[in-house]
Amino acid sequence: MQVGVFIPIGNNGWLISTTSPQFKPSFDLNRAVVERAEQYGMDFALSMIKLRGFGGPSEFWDYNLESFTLMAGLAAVTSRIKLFATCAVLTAPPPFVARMAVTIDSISHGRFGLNMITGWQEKEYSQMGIWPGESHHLRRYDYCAEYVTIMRELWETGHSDFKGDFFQMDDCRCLPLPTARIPIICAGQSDRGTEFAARFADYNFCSSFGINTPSAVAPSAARLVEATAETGRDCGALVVMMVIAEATDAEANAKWEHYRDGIDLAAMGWRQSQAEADPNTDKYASAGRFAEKLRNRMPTMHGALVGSYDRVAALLDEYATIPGVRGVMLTFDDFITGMDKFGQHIQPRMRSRADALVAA
Amino acid sequence: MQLGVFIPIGNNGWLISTTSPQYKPSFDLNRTIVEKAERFGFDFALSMIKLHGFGGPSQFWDYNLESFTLMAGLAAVTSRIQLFATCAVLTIPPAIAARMAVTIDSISHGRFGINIISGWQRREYTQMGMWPGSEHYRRRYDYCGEYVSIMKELWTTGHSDFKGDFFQMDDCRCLPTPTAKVPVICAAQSDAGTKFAVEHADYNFCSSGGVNEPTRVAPSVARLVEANAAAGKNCGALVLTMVIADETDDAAMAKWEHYKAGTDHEAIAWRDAQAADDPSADPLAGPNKRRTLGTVGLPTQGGVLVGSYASVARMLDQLAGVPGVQGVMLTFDDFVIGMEQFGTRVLPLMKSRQALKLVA
Repeated sequence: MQVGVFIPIGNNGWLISTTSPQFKPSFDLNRAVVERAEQYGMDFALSMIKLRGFGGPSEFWDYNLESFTLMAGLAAVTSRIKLFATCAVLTAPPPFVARMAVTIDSISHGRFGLNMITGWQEKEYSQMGIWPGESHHLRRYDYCAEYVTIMRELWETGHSDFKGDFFQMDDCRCLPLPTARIPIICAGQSDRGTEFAARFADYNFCSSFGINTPSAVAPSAARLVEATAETGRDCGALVVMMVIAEATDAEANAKWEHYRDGIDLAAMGWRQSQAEADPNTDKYASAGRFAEKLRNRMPTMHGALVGSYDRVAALLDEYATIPGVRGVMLTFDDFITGMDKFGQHIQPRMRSRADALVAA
Repeated sequence: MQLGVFIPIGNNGWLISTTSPQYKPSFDLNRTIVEKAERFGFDFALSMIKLHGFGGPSQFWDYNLESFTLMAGLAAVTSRIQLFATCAVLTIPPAIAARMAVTIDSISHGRFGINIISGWQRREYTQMGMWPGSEHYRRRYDYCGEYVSIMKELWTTGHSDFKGDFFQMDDCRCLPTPTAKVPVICAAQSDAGTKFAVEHADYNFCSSGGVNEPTRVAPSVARLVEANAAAGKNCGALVLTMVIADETDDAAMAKWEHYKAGTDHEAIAWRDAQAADDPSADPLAGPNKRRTLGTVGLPTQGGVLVGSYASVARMLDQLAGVPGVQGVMLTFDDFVIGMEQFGTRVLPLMKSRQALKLVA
């Protein structure tokens, strides 16, 4: 099973709380995290792009670096791990992003891929006058499909004459070509998003649900399997989750309860109101998932594994057995100590990583 | 006098010829060059952004990497030299460019600046459906003015509500703020461009011209000095020039004649046709400046200094003596050999760099 790390490009990582580790993003922090990831043989590191925070007392995600430039810097100081930047398709034209990708391919000697996001949080874009309006919620995957098609044409042939609803190229050129294939991933949870993934992507992120409940992702993964059966393409599910681990269950649970104590309801409320602007009533779309976390006082953006190293290793191995799941992408409460605990105590206990560790 | 290097993000650097060194751009090449520059105490390195080449038998600039991601990678592997990326204001929103700058500021620990270009080559933008029309030639510096104002508001306060003709921010946020001031530079030669430079930029590139005519840049610099005085500002003049050096004047001239022999006239014709699209009559504006500066038909993009190490050092000192000149940015025929020769054989002879030698 593949293992990657979702690196903290935004302040406080993925815990929306005032009692969790409080930290600002920096290159130095992310470099330390990715160097550990590479050292422990992780397959990939990925950063998101978040252009607007949720505020509240923890100023959640009010501080965010930019993804392409961050991964470009990390590419220059790593040599084995795969690196993904996130492209918010509303912010830059496809040929420009294609060229940035070729550049990071050059820096990394062929270790770069792209995570495509369509844009669900209106304020990220309306704040800079580039929100296309209500219609975007319904058409964002059509937009993204054209976007990816143009980039693939440029990466494969060096030119594009694509004419679509949203984009019209006119003998567009982009050279050099990348030295290696540039994988595309995305994070489509709704039916439409899953369909997009099955058509265009190599991997699709599925959010995990709940605490210590790997099987909860099975329906999402199954939808992806079904969608890829229709397209005949190979697109695997990567599941995002937080790891909060200690030597014993009791210590790990105590940390988790401490983080819940400081849940930043204001920030979570803001996030909820933004998500509700999407008229998509698909229960797997953002609004539905966030509402559940508010109800259950879970200060997270995705599910979590909380427990001893043994327990967490076993739960990760359980993810490896779910049909359609190809890998996991991890976040941590404290990324430095969390990575070290994973690399030194959890991964060695994982049967699903035995092959990877031998190869590393 | 400040010393910088214009790094070859595009194939063949700045010689439009089939008999000059032929090479493709890569991170490894640019890294080697910038590491040498840092070793020799250069003050800065800059890369341009070129989205469409001039073609011809030499495929001039058909191969180009992207500037922000290139400089981000270079930031991670350097520690002293100042790094500038070029921002083509038609391609990405100011809030995105601002966040990229903050990220490279983080990677470089405060050594990053931005070069603003308004867009003179139509094809770079029509190819991706992003050309605003001929109106742009008239209004491009107004556009740049708004763009830079928004970035500076974001860098100093973390937010912007700027409302202009081209951009309307709506409580736009961008944090963190950079750890150091992010200098803004540009390369504006016309009257309108010079006005933009003194109002918004810390440095402006003035075009050099001719072969071994280091003081030919004087009128362009004088224009900037005058505009500074009129506006009560202090925008410093930087000059771009190519260096083709060798042990003797004759040896250097032989190289230059060899490069001229293979001048790619087709590529030059393409370039000049694109420039002629701008209806401006300003003698230093794109369509006209080559006549004004005496570089018509030469396989270069500006002035060139050809001679022995001693001759080149002398001419650079003359350049340093032109009233208002604060620095020079260099290109080479062969960047790796050229930088090495420059650092070891030319620099020690330059009086205008003597004081700095002791400090580096």
